[in-house]
Amino acid sequence: MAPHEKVYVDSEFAEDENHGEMGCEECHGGNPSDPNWKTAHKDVVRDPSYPDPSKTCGQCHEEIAETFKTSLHMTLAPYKKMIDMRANPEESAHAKVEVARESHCNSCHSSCGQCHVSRPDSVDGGLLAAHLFQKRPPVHTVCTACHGSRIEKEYFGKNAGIPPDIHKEKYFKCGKCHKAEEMHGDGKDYGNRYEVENGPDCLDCHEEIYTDTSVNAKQHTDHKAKLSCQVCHSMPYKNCYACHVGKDDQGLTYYKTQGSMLNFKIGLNPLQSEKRPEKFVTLRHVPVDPNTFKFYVEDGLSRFAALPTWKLATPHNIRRQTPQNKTCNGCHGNGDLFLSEKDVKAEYLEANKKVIVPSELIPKKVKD
Amino acid sequence: MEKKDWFDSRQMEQTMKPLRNAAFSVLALVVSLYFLGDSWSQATTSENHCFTCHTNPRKLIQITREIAKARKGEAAKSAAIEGEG
Repeated sequence: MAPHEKVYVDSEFAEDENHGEMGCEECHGGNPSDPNWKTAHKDVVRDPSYPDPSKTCGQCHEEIAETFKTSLHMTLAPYKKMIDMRANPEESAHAKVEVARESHCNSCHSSCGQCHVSRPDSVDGGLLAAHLFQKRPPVHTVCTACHGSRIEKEYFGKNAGIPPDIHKEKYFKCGKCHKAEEMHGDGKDYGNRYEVENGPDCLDCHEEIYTDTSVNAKQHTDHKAKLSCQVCHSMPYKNCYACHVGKDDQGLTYYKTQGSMLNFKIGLNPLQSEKRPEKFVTLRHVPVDPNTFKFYVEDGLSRFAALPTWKLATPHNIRRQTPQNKTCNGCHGNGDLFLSEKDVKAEYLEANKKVIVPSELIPKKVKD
Repeated sequence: MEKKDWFDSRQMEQTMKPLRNAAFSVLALVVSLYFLGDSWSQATTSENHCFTCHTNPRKLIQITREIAKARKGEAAKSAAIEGEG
């Protein structure tokens, strides 16, 4: 977007009976009667919904503004929890890790305004539709502006040789599965996004899948609670291995990531619960490595091996037919699909012990 | 005779009532227009410069160029970024 486009306001906004009748300064501050743009912008707040939306959006959307304080898009709470578990416990080292996390990881948060009015700050902002409020945030300029390198490429079929998600071909937008209630938070402090109670569930739409009359009823019934849906229906997806962050000579933050790999790994479910009872799930490699914060502190992630380097994943490239479900032996006896010791660096074998599939658990080949 | 007088005054009152109502309505309208006009003229004198400027692409281009000129040489993003974000 050109700089002026980012701040251009459609005069039609004045006709928005809900938001357009308020004075600009009621949300953004500044002095609307001052003709000098420099002094008029004194104390102007670009995003009045961050960090606390209660005095702006919350004046009318009181309940959402309250629960949004716990939305993972706002808090990024799992980042802190995971990084804290891997971080050096020594006080000064931990403090430096905190600085790094705040400067880099936490810059990716969102807010009411950064979904419904403008693009997120982390992708350089800019008003979405010239300040006309968007009830449903647009996919390309909001959702995949942040969730781009993995989710967007999977969902829209931008990874070479991999078709798009079947739901994309049915013209589903993100909001079809990820409802507003999930995005807005529910007041609970979750440890990771898979715990979120009103998160998407395939069964919300495919409720008949485990009944006798469903398509492939026997296959679905036989594998129920053993495999997550993605184990059978995902295509190969992106895995990142080393993200390093720092600041350049001008004090600007940067990141450097090594090349990613497209692969597909089934592992043991590290987050088995009543909601996710399946034994086998798809796993994705975490992008961090022990030296991610080396610019800030030498041994910042000294307990890196406290958590697995392969984590539960729900790839967004679902297909009815996939290489692993085309025939029984597409999966049964196909050891390459399963996360084994040879897929993990020697120093992280212990950390990944609970997700690596022992050879005796790989299903045996069957007679076709 | 007395009866006729009573009738005349009643008839006159009935004739005057609509005229009186009309006069009150006109008066109320004049008063409203006076105050409305006053507040409208106040609104036009205290122009919302946020709105007039941010809805004018020409002005915005001019100002963003001024800002870019003032910030010449300052990088917005680090050139050290490598790989997928």
